[in-house]
Amino acid sequence: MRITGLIPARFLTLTSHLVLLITILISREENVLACLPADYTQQQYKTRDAEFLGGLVAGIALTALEFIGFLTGVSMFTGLPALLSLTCHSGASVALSYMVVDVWDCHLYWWVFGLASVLPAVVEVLVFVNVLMLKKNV
Amino acid sequence: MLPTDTKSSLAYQILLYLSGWFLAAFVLIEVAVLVYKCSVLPYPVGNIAAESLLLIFLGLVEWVRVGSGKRGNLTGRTLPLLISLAFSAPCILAFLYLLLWQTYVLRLEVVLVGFGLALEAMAILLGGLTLVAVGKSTTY
Repeated sequence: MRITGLIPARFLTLTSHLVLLITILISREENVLACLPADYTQQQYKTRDAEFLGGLVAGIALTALEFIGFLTGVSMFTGLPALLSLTCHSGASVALSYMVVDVWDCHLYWWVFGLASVLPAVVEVLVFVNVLMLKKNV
Repeated sequence: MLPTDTKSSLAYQILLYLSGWFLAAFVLIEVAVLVYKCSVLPYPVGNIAAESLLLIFLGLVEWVRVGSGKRGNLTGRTLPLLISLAFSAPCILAFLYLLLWQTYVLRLEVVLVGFGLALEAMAILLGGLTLVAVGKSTTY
């Protein structure tokens, strides 16, 4: 069977994840305030902000890694890894848009990061190893 | 399998294929954003009309640009590639309008338009390279 919808679907979910991460990066102030106590000090704010910023930049980097693997064709025609990445990134897009709209606590971002950025990125690296080093077709 | 002396560019084709999908998603999101802005913000009627028309115009021009670029790349002819490159200019202007001169610009739109402009820039670069490769190989 020819799978035709998987490639554009994966591209669009990756794009939407990336777009949302950058949007949150620009407007992260409210989310940082949401995970601070009412009487926070400037020092606390700075620490939280740096933490959150690091998480967002790491998320963008992992998504970019997947983009590179996808666009160079290493994982473009894979079946199961592509499906996993599709699921994770669409979930992340929904979760992150709620994060913007409902002003989620910035601790909750780490769940999204772990489940929807790290997990597909690890699978992507495994695909890299399989295709580029072990010369297997996944 | 492509013949070995082909001048078509695979990278350009991939880029055009994916930007076609990006364009479709972009127009859908922009329509939703426009509806959102109309319902939340005070909007002069003239501006809604102008921006809706601009969005339709952007969609049509991008469609022609992507379609003729794909065709020119696959058939290895210069004219469709030139048309595609020429149509990039109004597309970039429309994107810049959405980014800079629109009535209200959301942060989401800034990021999305930035992505669109990046795709556009890559298309101009790869399209130019393909045009040179195709043009050099054409014999009269």
